[in-house]
Amino acid sequence: MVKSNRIVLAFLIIFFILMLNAYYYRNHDQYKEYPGVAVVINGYQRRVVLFGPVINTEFDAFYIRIKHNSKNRIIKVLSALDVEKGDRVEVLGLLSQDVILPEEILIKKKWSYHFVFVRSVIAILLVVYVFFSSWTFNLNDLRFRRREDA
Amino acid sequence: MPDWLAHVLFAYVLCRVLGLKFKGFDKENRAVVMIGSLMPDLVKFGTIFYWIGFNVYDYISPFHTPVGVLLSAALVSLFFYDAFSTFLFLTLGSATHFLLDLLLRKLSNGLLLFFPFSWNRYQLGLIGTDNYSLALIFLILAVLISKMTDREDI
Repeated sequence: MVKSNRIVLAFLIIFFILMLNAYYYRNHDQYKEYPGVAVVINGYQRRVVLFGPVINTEFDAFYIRIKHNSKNRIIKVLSALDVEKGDRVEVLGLLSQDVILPEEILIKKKWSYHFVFVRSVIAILLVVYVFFSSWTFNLNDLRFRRREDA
Repeated sequence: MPDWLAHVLFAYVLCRVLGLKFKGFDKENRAVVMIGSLMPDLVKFGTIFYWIGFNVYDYISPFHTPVGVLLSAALVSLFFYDAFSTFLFLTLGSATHFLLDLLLRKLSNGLLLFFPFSWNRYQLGLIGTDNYSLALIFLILAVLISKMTDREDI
């Protein structure tokens, strides 16, 4: 493909990506199954799904911190489930005055949550190694070529 | 999402299996499929912004949809000499990603498989997002299939 054609095509694709993202940004709120952190931060009460780290526990409840942009809110979850500080929980329930009465809770233990990141870092290193052992970047043409052809 | 290790190893195993039957799944193209298996998670760049206090997920989420992936695969493939076959291998990798993500159990935010034509979300709810058994299974399969196909390349 001629270089000028590639540039035109690249700009066209970027244009479509931007359109797709803008369409999502403008409409996603009205199609959400449950309101999430963004609206709860601004005081929304009712049935919601929240996700955040456990920051404190009590006998019959625990507290999670939810965050959106630079705003934080602490929510009390009325549940006696066995959670510890640092665990990540996803809660579906009825929210009222910063207290949520859960209908369903998913828990990720702290070690398990962090282990996902460890495995993912290993994956990145693996992919980078496998890819660059097969391909090399031609700076003059701004394209990858097979190492065996280089 | 299952972790990236599960995605990458699944793509690798699939390529080795398909390579037994079809031509084209050489180590270069396997590497492209493995890249493709992570492409839908371009959306995870949002995590970096989230950590510094900005939520960009509301804008970049379409990268984690099939149409978004087709567009990003088309863009990336322009940086290869054989753009069309690269596009196909990236798309195959991304398809493996969605297949695994479909298995997940979350309380909301299933996959927007038909966005922007439909806002319906899909998930099978079979495994937790922090489940490591998938990565373990694919790791064992990857080692086994590499031994069985008896090739010297990766």
